[in-house]
Amino acid sequence: MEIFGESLQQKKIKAGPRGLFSHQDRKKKSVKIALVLGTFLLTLGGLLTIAPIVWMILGSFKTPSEIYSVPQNYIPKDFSFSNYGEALRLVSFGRYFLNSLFMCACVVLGQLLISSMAAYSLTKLRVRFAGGILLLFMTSLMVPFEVLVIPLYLIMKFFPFGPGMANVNLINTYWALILPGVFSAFSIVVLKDFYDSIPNEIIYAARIDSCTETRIFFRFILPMTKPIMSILAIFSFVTTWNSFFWPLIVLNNPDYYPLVLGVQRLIDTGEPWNVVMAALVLSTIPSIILLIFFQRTIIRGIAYTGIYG
Amino acid sequence: MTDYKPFSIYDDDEEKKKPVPLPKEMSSKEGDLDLEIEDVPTPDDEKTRLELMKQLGGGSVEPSHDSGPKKSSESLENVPFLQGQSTESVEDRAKALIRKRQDSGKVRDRRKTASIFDKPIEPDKAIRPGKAFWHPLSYRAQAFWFLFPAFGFFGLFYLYPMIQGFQISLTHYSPLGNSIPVGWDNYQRAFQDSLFWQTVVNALFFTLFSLALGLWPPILLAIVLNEISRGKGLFKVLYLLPFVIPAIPAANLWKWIFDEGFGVLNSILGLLSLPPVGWLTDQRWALISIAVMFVWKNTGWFMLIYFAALQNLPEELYEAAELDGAGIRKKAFNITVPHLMPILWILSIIQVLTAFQIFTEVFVMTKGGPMHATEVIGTYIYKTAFGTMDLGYASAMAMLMFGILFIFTMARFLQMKQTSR
Repeated sequence: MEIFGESLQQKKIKAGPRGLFSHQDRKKKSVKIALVLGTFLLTLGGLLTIAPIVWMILGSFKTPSEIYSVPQNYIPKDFSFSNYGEALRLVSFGRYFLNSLFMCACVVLGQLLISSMAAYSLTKLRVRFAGGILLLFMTSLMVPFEVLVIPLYLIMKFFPFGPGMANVNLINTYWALILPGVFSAFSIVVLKDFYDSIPNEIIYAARIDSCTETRIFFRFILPMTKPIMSILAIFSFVTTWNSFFWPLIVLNNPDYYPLVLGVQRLIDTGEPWNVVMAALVLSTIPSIILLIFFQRTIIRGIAYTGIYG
Repeated sequence: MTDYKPFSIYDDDEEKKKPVPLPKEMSSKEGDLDLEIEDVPTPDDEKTRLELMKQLGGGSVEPSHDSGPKKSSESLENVPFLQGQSTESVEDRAKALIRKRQDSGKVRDRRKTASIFDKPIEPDKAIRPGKAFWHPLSYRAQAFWFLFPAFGFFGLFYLYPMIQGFQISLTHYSPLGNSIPVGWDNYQRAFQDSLFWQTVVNALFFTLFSLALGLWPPILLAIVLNEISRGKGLFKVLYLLPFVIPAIPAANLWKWIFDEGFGVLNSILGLLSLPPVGWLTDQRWALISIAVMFVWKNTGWFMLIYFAALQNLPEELYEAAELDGAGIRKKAFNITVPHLMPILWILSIIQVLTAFQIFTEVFVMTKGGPMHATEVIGTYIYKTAFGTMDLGYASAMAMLMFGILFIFTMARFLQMKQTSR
């Protein structure tokens, strides 16, 4: 549970704990064979896992005649980038990419700010009925998105808080993409647990030094919670980046499409598989880069948030 | 009797035996409630108190509490004016009133939360909680404003849609404002709609398939991953790739792999001289094919959760078992498996919830499939709501889905509540 500053670093330094087999066990022949078999199983699983992705990359280099040949041509004869050129011509990837990036940035920043403020208030500011409010927030985790989709669509169509409290239509705007993603009960619960582990004395000391609560929050609490914030940021970034259902409903103007929706629209027009594969590769690259650069945070985050279910 | 013994750094008996009297100004200071409770009255204080009471002329004049040492500053049982047995002096009543207000939360207990914005409570001044609340720098107003944005978003995008969804489900909805209330008609219609029941059955089967295919491999993989000494990082990233990439590329990719004419799966079957299978066009196979894709996407994620649980397993358990002469099999079945059981429960609940609510994968790969063989609740609701614009009926179906899933969501909710405490 503890991933507060020092203990995180300690975990990094400490070698992983031993597993099922002791040193004596490892000298046995049967155990050695079992380990070799296990490694083989793991490798096989890994190959099966990335085989479709490799297949996608191979497919993106094939010519139409190759891709539609009936005993499938496994390795393309010559690696031509013409499919990518075609895909880039058909889809305005730059625009969609920036749309996605903007949407994710807004959702992540808003979500982190709002969630951490709420969690700070619930843990450290002694709000009345704090437990009840948290339970109320957590009920939102129970609701399937299908239940919310129709009313949310109507709210976006007749958004009541327009300029001058008039109804505005937010369909086909960035607002419609961003607003429903900002509240996340999951982040509030995780952050609340984290704040519980921060000693109150730090905050008392700051109060005695005449800090306002806002200043305490931004100067002390936020920097202290960097590890958990980075985990939550990555997670909400990935889920927002991958979201498809909500943009599909709320958008029909291609100018606002996020990357995923734009690619799906291209595929719906019935392009040949080789161009589709090139487009898919292009839409997958950002996620793969994200995984490679932030693998430590992502893996740690899965380990940490896994216990919450 | 009322000795204040400071902690002495010298190991000196003389020093310890010597009673240190309380500072004068500390013991005689009145009006501050904290000190009032925490400090211990000296005989002088008792005398002045009795005199004061005589002057005020209220009640009896007996000493209200004996001059023995107090138990602690925290226990309020021995403080007489809180019990109401005390003399009825004005001062005491005022203090009792303040204490009552503090208990009821109108005035904060300063011993628990100190803030520089608090003035010391003066018993003869009226306290106006309203003003204190709305002052922008008051403590409780800050607490409120910190919570407000989350509450606003929750209300606007979860609570209100929830209620409105239920309202819509009771009407024949028209977005122009002339929707007709029809009571429970939509629900009746759903109960009589054979297609709706088919979607429920399909979702159920999909959940079963994905549980059967996807629940056990991550455990095996995690146990092996925990034992090998090299390449852990590589395997983790490898298995995590499908989890991170969006559902759209993944689903389209698998649509191509499962393609009846040009898919690689049928191509491999052809090499083994087997007849091609319509993975996504055959009613028997379509749901299983989508489940395979679904499992492919989640296996790495589940594996890492199990792996983290194994890493948290204290190695002392294994060592103790080995000292008692336990073999590998006993260690595995009495330590490792029981340790992973709770995680298995959590993950199966998650798997059921996500599998039941699946939309994107089905929408991309089969769009409801051959003869509604892969129609799940999500796609049916989408088609009803945004294809035929029958929002009332779609809402009713969504509500029914919520009802069907309620046991599982409740289980997950309780589990999460338990974890977060």
